[in-house]
Amino acid sequence: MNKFKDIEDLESYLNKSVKSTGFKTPDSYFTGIEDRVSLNLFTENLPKETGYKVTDDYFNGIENQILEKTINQPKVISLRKRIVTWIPAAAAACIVLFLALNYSTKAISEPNNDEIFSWFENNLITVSNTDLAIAFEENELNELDFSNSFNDNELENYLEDIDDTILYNEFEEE
Amino acid sequence: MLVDETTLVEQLQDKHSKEKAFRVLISQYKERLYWHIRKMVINHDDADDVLQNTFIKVFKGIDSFNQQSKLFSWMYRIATNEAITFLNKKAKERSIDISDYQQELVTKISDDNWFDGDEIQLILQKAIAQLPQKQQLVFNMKYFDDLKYDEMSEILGTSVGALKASYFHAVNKIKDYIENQTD
Repeated sequence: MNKFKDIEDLESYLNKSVKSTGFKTPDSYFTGIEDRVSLNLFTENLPKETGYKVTDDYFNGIENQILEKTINQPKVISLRKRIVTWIPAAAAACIVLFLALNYSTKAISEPNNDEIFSWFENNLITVSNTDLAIAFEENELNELDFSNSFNDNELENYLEDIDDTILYNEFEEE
Repeated sequence: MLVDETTLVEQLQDKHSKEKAFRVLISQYKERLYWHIRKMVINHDDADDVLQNTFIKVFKGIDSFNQQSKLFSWMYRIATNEAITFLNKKAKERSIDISDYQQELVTKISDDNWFDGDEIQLILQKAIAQLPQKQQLVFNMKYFDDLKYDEMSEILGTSVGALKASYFHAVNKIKDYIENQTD
């Protein structure tokens, strides 16, 4: 049941009761409001475009330029990264090699006499006269057959034809 | 159709889709970033360089982007820093202050083929150039780019209250400058 008789009665009631809406404003809000309104009116009259412009196709072309410098750029792997990547592989290889060298049971086969003679004939092995003297006992050297002797003329011809440098080198070695 | 940021970031951080997603990123944001940069460096060729450097940095840094801010805010911040670094470098080469360098650029703007503004637009650019760096940024971002204060706060790392104050001071100085020019 409406307790107010008419609108005047309602107004009279409201005037006597709470006037505040409960809403608040920041301190000094109304102090600077004239300035703010004035500035807003000012900016309303400013141009909204800067005046700067670009060519019609600028934005079409810029994408490719950027892609050339990013996605299409060849990847550069730093030296440090390469080294770090290879360290584990190198370490593993060293361990395998170490184990192979120290624990291998396969003997190195000895060369046979034919192989040794071949090496001498092809000058793959050189032995000095001193080494020969050490290797052979005197009696073994005495047993060597010098039946293929040379007569004096043959010997003289040999000595005249031979390169002197060879003789000097042989004397120097002795 | 614009791709939403969350999806775009996921694609950018996935090596299988990074390339395609980066093309989409450039396509979606190149103009907004360009005009933001251009308003700072004035000259088109310089803006072009800075824009490309910005996208290169985005490409290199996207894998470590932690999404604590929006993707666009992050890119906008990179663009801002690249532009400021560029201006500082140019000013240092000339042995002058960055503000003096920018004002010098704007003085020559009427001779620039890539500026077709009228007299009031020219005066406005000169007015902006004489503002401190932060106020220039705030004014351009609020007035020309229509960014909200929340967005600007995320980009510049400044509180909304400070940004509002900055904008208020910027507009006041621009008003004084223009009124002095037109008296």
